[in-house]
Amino acid sequence: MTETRLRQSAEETYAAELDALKKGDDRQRPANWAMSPHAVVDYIMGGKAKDGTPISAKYVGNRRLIETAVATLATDRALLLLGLPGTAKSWVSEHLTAAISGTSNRVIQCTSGTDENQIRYGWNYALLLAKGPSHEALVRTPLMRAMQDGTLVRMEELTRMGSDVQDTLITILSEKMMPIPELDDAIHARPGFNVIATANNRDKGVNELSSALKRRFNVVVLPPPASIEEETEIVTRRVAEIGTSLDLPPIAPADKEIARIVMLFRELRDGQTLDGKLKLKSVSGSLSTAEAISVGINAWAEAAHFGSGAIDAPALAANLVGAVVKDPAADSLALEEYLENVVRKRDGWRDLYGAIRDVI
Amino acid sequence: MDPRAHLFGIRHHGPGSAASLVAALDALDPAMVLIEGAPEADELAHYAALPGMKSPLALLHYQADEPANSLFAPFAEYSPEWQAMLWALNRGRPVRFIDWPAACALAAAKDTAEQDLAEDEGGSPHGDPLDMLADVAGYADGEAWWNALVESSRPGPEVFAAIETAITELRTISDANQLLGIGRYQRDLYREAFMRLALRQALKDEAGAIAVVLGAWHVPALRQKSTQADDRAIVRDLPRVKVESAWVPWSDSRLAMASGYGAGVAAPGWYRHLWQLHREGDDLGAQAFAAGWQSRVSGLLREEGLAVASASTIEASRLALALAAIRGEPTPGLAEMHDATLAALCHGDETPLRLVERRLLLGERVGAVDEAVPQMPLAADLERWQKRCRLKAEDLEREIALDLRTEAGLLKSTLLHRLVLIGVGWGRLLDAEAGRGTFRETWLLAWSPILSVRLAEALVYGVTIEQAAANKAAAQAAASTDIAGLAGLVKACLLADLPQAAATCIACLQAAAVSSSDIARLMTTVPTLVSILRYGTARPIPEEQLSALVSALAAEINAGALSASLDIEPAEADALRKAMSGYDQALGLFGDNHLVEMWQRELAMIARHNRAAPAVAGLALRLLHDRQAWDVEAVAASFSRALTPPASPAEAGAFVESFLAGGAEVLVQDRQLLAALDQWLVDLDDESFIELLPMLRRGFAEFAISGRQRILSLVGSGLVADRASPSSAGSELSPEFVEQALPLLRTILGIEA
Repeated sequence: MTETRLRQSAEETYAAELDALKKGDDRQRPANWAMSPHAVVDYIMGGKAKDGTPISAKYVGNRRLIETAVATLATDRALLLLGLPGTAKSWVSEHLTAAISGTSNRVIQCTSGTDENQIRYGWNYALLLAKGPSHEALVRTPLMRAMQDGTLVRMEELTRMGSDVQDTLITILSEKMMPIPELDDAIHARPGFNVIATANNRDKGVNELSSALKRRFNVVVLPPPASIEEETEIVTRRVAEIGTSLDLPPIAPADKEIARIVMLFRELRDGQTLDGKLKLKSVSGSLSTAEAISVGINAWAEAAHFGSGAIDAPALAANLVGAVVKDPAADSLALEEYLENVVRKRDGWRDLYGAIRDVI
Repeated sequence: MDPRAHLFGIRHHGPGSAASLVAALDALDPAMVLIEGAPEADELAHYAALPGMKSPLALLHYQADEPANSLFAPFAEYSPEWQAMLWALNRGRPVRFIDWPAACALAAAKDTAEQDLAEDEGGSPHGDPLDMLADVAGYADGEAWWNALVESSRPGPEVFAAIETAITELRTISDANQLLGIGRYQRDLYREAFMRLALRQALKDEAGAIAVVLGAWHVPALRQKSTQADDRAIVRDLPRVKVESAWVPWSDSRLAMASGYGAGVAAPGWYRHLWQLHREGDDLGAQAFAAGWQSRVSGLLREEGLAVASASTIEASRLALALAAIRGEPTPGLAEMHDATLAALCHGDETPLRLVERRLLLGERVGAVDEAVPQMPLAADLERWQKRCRLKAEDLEREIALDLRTEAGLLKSTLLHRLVLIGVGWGRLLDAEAGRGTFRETWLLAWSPILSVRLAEALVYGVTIEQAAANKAAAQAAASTDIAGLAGLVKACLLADLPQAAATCIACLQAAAVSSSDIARLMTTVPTLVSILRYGTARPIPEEQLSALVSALAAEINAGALSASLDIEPAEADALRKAMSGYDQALGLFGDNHLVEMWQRELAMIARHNRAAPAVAGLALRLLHDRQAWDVEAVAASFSRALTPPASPAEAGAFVESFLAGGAEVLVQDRQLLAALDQWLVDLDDESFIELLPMLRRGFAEFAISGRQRILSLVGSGLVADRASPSSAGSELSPEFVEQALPLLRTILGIEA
């Protein structure tokens, strides 16, 4: 059969790995879990199944974080994955649901337009008008189905949803029950039901979780890449991929310049130089890996269309300043200080110093 | 080996070990307890049971004529050695220390000069050998492994047998392959020979069972067959030094350091919690253990003002247990507790956890020594210094003058400065200018008994005055974020001839400066540092580091001066102006052209910015003028812009006052400026003029008489008015008309007619 779907879900793509893990899994499983917590962690972090099937790593990073996430789900507490954009939150939550419940399709994308009907249940109005309130007239949401079947449900970008709608979750999470007052009835969740929410911790000010709701989640923060080598590799690879798919004119390899972007981003993000000798003022922007990638792409476009044909200091400078300076007063100060104390004194960075000075 | 000897291989500072040991001692009921430790402490051991002895404590051994060469054996309440000592003392059984004498250890340390305390504490250079075993078994540290072991078997002799088997294996491999390095191997040979000799002696002296408490690493060596003659031969020719020993108070933070644990990995606070678990006995299950720890964390978080619900505390302990289960451990370890706290109590945010981390993991306990226990090396060190400096401790106040160019003077000054650093105020420095390039210091000396107490308190920081002063300064610097205070510390360290501590303080100062947004504060710091650099302190200084710090501070100031001078109150502006002028001078002395250039750039932006405080802008313009960074036209344009509307008269007045401060020449030589000033004065209405009069008077008051007179004559000559408005040259400005203004001008300029 020819593939008609653009993208397959996690449980389909990795069906072989999941089967192998399930076969070799003799540890205790929580009710309605497809495999034991231990096997879930192995599935995410990679390794080998009992029968020798290699398991690919879905998440590259700290194993302890994934263990905390899985343990949370096993204690029937809801899980909130926080992190900057591009730290694999949705990716991890998709794979967790695929491994634990066997399906990753129960997902609610939360937006500012999401209302309670999309969280709890809606009504089939034709039936409602014809026959009055009844179970048949209910339109079930992914959350309600998950409760009835005892599976996980994913809620993407939880904090984008209005606070009043968020709070619908409180009863569901603490009492594992959803009342339907119209029918004087309630849906009781089966064992295995749980919620994995993701949120962007830079945006948490948008619709910050109420403390009542926050208390019902265990929070795992997925951090940016741990080492500069890892991050440089990710950025170099992603810049090449995105640039090629955008059909940007080819240019000379720019690994050295990308290494400098990553270094600058990391130092400003961490508030200290890589050697740890100098403390720096911190900036208001997140300076995430995703932003480093976009600076690389922009510099590429600029160099290819307007510049010298290779990513160089002048091509980088304007994009860097744009990415770093989000709050004109505080951030320019931080950048200024960084320029003087670090960039100017670093071997081989003189050109970048000049180029950035020209921009600000 | 004699069956009466029972060997207990322990893990230093391991609460699990301590609990098993106590149980084993209870079961065995030995007639004598031998403990790994320097035998010089034999007479000191019995003090351990005194009510005033509060752990953490340490046994200190130091070379009598050179106290800096010293050796500590720290004990926490959960140290097996400490528990063994208490067990024996409470039952009236003799205690002996059986390690090699500190006399030999210190002599050897002096030879190699690279005595590593951590190495001495653990059983191997990689820390505890049990950590190595734990590592192989996949545990976070030896304690986690020990816990697993204790959980699976009952505490008691069986555990020790199991450990002995494992260590014997490890030791055989290690010795065969020389894994530890030759120096370390050699030292173990000596130490273990001493231990065997002491054990034989004990067996001879005592008829009953004998318990030997020693690092697990050494157990196989004591089992080893050897003759008394062999052992004697091994240790016969070892060099020795004269040693003195004492009990000294210790602290949790030093315990973490001295034991070679990385901060936050395995920490005294955590170990104390574990010890409680063991002491409560079997009835305290994993659940209560997890709940106890998480409640402690919650309590600390609440003290920091964070809302932590009890329900979250329960969830945190549940999560810790679930995590332990996933990782296949019987009880949650520190890693599980940490992850659970983070997810359930802190909402994934490390920041609140970091607030309490120190108190939670390290603890803030400082030990205390009972009054009956003989003291103490710092007093001895002070006595030695007093002899060397020919200074006597007297109650009577006495003033002494020191010439720092002489060796004797410098020595005395160094001692007094160091004493001040550790809070022993024997001398008070009278001459505030001391150290700033002058070679004289005047001190007022007076000794009081309370100072002995201070001296004892300082013992926590070190055993010699030098060590204590350096460590205390470093500790203070680490705890402080006050820039001026830190700059003071840097100076104090330099004066006390503690370059190492000064370097630490400099690093702290840099970190504090970055997080500070108070530019005026930063500016006032620079002159202090530059003056140290420029004029020295009659002592060697870490020049490179200091000048790196000055450039970092200057870069910071150069970047932030503009935003610091916008929209501020007059009082603030005045403070900033004063700081700025000091900074400007210091920067000139410092002599880094790039920094000066950046400074001028910033000054120019201040002078141009229409929201800059007038007092600051006035000074900025003046500095630009004096440095000839701007030409006369630019200065004059800026000057008149500052004086004309929409600037209010009060603002203009403040601008003029700060611009004029510092000399009349600027007006005498620069007619355009004088003209602009003149024009502004003429245009003022009566009310504003009277209001501004005091300000103007202040502005002119600093000028020399001759300068004032020359200005007056210039104004009187009418030249100024002509130059100011060439277009009105032909108008009615006759000399007579101008003359009418002269009396008033005299009043302003303060010249008698």
